[in-house]
Amino acid sequence: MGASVAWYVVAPVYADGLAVVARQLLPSLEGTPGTRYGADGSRVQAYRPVRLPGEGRARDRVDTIWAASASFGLPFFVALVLATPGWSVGVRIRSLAVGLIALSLIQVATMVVTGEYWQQTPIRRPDGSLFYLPSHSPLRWQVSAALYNFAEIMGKGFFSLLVFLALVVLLRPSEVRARPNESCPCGSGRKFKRCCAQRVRC
Amino acid sequence: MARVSRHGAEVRFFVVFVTLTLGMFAVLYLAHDLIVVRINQYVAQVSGAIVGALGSDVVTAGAVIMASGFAVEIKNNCNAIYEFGLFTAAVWAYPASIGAKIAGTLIGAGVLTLVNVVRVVTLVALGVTAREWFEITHLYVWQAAFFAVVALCWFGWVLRVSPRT
Repeated sequence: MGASVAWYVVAPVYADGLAVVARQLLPSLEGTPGTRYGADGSRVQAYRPVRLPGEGRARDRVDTIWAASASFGLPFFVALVLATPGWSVGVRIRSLAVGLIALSLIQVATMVVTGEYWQQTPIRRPDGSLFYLPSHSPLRWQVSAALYNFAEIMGKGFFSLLVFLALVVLLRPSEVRARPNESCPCGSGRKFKRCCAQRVRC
Repeated sequence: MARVSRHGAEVRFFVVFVTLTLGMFAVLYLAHDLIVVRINQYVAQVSGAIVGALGSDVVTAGAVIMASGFAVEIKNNCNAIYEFGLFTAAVWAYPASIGAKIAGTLIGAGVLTLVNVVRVVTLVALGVTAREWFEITHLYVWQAAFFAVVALCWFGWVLRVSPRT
């Protein structure tokens, strides 16, 4: 809960950073000329100038391509690292640094997928008909929809858990703090001296 | 040699975990109307009944709960089903006996369903009594907390099973 509240506080700053990345990265993938990207509070948004048939001038279609409120994988990961028993302060700091970099790269990838999904999604006009942006492709829409939904629904917890488990596996037993007669941090139930400590000696 | 074999087991776990997660997502994504929509309605009905028992005027319609002028719709990430899919993938990827995996899956399903109902009920109650706190609690606190429950269930299960390798 503490990590979530901290995330709520720092999210606008993080969104500003992602907006900078979006401005550098996304124009090369953008199919609508004149699209702008910017942070709005704790969200990153794409402003696509669209002129619907029959309309005199273009108006911005605003799509949220990243939202802190939907990025709870980051505080979840921080909570996992901070709550893991047996890790020294140094291991926690390194794990947080490596994990947050990895998860931030995943956030950027998610933002790219979301941007692609929204530019493939048609606009529903007042009469119910659909208007497709010039870059629309049915195949790209289906693929980006599946990726977008995975990232949106299942990806946050999945990627955080995956990065955390990878860190647990990659940490050498010598980096885990435990006294010889304490139970082993690997969770085997045996004493540390009879479990991972022997692997270190080997 | 032992080091190679240990890493082999870890690589196998990751490959199976990723594959099962993608498989669970594909099944649920493709069978959205058949599985997810029905579970959304079930969660709404159970949660609505509990909120009603706590003294609010509640109406449930499909996956929507309306209580004292406040309405919520149960959607993905509020129904626990994809989180359960992730938990199941982690359980079945871990090297344990079939019996332990089945027990872990069933107990995990029970725990996650229960916690999810608690989540929905508290959010509806919060929406009725202190609406200004609803969004931060819903989007920031409960989402991360629920995945923490998923992780706790899995770690708790792992600590109680004997790996075969």
